[in-house]
Amino acid sequence: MALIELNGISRLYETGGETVAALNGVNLNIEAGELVLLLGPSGSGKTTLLNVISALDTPTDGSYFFDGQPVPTSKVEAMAKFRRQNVGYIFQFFNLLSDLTALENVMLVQEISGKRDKAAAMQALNSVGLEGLGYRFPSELSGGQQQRVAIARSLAKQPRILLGDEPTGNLDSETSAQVMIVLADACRRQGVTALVVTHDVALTKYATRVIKIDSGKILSDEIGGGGTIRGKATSVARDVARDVAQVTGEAVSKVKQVIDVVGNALAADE
Amino acid sequence: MRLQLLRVLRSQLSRPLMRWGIRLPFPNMLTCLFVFLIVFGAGFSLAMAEHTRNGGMVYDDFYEATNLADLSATSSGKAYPHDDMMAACDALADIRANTSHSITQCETRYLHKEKSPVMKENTTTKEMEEVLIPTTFHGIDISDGSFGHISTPWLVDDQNEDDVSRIPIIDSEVVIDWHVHLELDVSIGDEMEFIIKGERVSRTVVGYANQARHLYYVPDSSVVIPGEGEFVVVYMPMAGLLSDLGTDSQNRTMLLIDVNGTPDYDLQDTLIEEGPELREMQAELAAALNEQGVRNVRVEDRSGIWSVELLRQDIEGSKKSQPLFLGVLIGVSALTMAISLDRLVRRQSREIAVLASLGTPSSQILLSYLSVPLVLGIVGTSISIPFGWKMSEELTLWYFEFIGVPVVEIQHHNDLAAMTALLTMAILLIFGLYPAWRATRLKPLEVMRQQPGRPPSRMMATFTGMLPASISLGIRSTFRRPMRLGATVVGLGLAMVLVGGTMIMVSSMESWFSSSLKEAEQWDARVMFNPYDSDDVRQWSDAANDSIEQEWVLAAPGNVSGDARTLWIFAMEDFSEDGVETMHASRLLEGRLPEPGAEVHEALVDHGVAKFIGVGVGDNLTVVVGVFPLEMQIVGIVDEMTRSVWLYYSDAAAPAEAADIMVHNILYLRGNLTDSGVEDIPGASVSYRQDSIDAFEKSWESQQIGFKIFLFIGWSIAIAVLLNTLMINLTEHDTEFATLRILGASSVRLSVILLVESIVIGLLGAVVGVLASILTANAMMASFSTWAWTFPISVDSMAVVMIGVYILFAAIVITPVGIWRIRRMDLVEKAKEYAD
Repeated sequence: MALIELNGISRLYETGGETVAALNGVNLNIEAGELVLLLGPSGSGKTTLLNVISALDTPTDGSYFFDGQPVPTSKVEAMAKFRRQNVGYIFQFFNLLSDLTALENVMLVQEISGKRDKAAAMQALNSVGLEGLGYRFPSELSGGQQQRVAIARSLAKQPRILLGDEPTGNLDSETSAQVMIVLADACRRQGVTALVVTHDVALTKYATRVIKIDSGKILSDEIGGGGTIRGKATSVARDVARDVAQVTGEAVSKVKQVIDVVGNALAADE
Repeated sequence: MRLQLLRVLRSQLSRPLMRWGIRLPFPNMLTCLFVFLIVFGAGFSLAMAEHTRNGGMVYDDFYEATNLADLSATSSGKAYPHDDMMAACDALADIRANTSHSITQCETRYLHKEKSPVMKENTTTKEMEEVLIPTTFHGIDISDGSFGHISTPWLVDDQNEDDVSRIPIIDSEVVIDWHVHLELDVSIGDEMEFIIKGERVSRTVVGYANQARHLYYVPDSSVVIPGEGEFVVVYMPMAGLLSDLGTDSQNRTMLLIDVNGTPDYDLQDTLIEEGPELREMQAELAAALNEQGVRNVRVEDRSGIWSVELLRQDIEGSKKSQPLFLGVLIGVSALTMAISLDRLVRRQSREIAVLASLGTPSSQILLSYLSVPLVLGIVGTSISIPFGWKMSEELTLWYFEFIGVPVVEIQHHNDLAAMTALLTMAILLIFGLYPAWRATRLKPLEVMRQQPGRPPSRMMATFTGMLPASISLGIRSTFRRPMRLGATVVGLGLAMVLVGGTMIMVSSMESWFSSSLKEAEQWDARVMFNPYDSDDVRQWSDAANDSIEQEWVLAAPGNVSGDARTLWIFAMEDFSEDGVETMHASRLLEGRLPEPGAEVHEALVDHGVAKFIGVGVGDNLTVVVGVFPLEMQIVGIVDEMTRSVWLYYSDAAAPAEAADIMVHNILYLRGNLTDSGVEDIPGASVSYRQDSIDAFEKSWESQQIGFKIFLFIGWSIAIAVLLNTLMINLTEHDTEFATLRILGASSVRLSVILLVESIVIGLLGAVVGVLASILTANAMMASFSTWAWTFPISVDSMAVVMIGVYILFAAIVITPVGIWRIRRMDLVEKAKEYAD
């Protein structure tokens, strides 16, 4: 059973009297432990998909199951509770609270989840390579360090899934790579499933799976450079199944055509 | 392309108000808030300014229209021949002939105090019954066809009833005071009954008048709040009055003197001597009267006309406080606006940076941000002027009704409106200058760098480091912008200057009035009589001595030697603090009660005399009664309503020279007075303690609406300031709260953070508000405090707690608003604003 299961998810918006489909019947299954990269141009629907998965947005149509359970999509407090229990979130601009130190930023999210544990918070910072920097304020850290604090903050409450909305969008390529390595490593160690929205094709090498999206539809779903054997096998199997289905479909179509042609010829002879 | 972009951006700047509306949180609400603050601030200031000027005109009009006496000599009951009084006047005229202070004319009058039977509704039985009301009769010579020439009763027509007043022509006609017409519903043409020398006489009312001695409508200075229908004043032909009294037609009790021009007189509320010439003339007149054997009179200049002087001093107090009110009220509005403008600049910093980097002149940015206070100011002041005019009418009517002074005319003054509008605009622009200047000083590179916000100070971080992160966040974010927090606290403090100061002052005033009436006075009835015609009173007293507790008192006007201000000398049979052994309780503030028979007479002075004369326990004081100096030593300071000196009657009357002056004129009574016949004593007037208390409470109750309006305005301004800061704080946290919400924070958790912040601001505001209120109450009292009107400010702990609780409550109430906003926020979009 997939950890995340989206069936026919659509999200329509009314803009200037027109209906725009940000998501258009998306079907997507994500297994536990995957690091999925969501690629697509601006306005393709990738952030909307992320918002639906994180229970920030309510789909217009379709169903969403998380670990086999339907995800609340209407009551704001229930949606917040879902996020509190299951979702870690990383923002493009880090969104650290400037009045709190790195450690306090991590501990605040622990408090929100009812799991205040200073040692664990410190450990979370250590695990992203920020040993000794816990008492610094965000303004005293570099951009890469701030984003690592954000990763530690998200992971400190031990979420089931980690969602990132352009988490490297505000970083240079070298720092982006470092952050992605930290992210992939932390997710792997904690067994957290990650879904990251990005424009940066170079980051595909860290993902187990790369999904391309445009006009609210999934265009492709491929194995990433960082895929595990299991993940790769799953991906290959999925591709084979798809190919088989495609081949089978084409064969059946051809047979139907042959039958039609033969049928028509026989009818003419009679 | 670059030029086009620049044009587009500049066109944005040319619409600052639109941007104000778009970019500020709660745009309509905030705009309304500022306009409200300006309207109230400027409107109230204008109302105060007009009230002060109109009040001043009441005084000036009276002086001009009634030819207020420049000097007067008033007997406390003993009558003297007209010729003797006029001879003293002639002597003074001789002394002052060919000087700038020559005597224009002199006039004698006869004053008599007794009572009038009036039908009034019994508050218990609700039935009409006859009551006897203390009455002052002014006997005025009408033989030359006038109604006197000095301190003339000012005839008033009643436009509503088409009543036209005229002066009496025959002895059976009288003019009644305007207050009597209003309060007892007596009109021109009515027959009114009076009791003169114990006999009922009937007179025809032919007019209404205001008179200088009765502008402030109380029977005597011991009654501070005028009671409705508790006092009657009648202006009548002297011959008729003297005939009813059965006294010599030449007898007089008052001499009035008109000095050439408008001579300066010593103002009682200043330390400098404004009228040395008139002071000299006072002494010359006293000597001339003494020479004629007219000894038992009090010689005064205009400062002694208590009723008018109280009004003048009060108007002077209002004049002094009006600029303060304007400054405070508009300052609060301007501070609030500056805070929000600063926030606007902060939020638009990226746009400003883009403009600056494209070469937009600083002056253009400055002007565009100054246009916000300019436009809001113009809108606010435009509304404030008609609002202020309306308020001025209501305020002046309410005020003069409260103190019982008739309003002559309420005028609107364009110069005051223009001045208020200009000052308001100036203050708003000055306060708007800082945020506008800040906008021009923004450095594009720093703005574009998107640095995280400044960290809190180390001290703050250490102080709050032990707390849970959510609590610590609430506290630190409160102090994130210390300047804004400071401005809010100052704004709130200023707002509380108005409301808190008034609250404490009013509560002090009420408790002081109440305790002065209920605790200090322990008699049931007070009989006032002419000490030189007291046989009937003494006869009644002897007859009732066994059944009714009695205490003889002397109350005489006087002054401290070398000081012209009038005080009252009370000579008592005995003293006590509890009012059980005696019928007046001396509420000691300092020292002890006097003992009789000391070598230098021991005396008490009230806190006002101690304060204004600058004397204390142990000091010696010489008080002049009539022309007789009385030496005494102060042994205690007491809380009393009037400026007064208290000593034993046996001491006061002991010197041989005092025998003619120190004579009892009041009798306190305690016990069952039903059927005692006290009201039937000829020549005496009786007032009841319970009536005074009821009158005060009724009057106080009826005036509460005025105070409530005042408090409502003050509280509205204070709450508006508080809400403005809290709303800005909320919007400043939007991205943070959106982030926390995305990370799964529950409403409860966010409420805790918001609540902590509100409580911190509320507590700070409460402390500042309470301090500002106490300081203001004391400052207001110091400013308004005059010889005639002063009372000690006692900080009512309940009022203080209420002020603190109100502010804290107002701050906390904003929390649900914040949560409501977060719940309906587009979290993702808001979280992205971190980049801004």
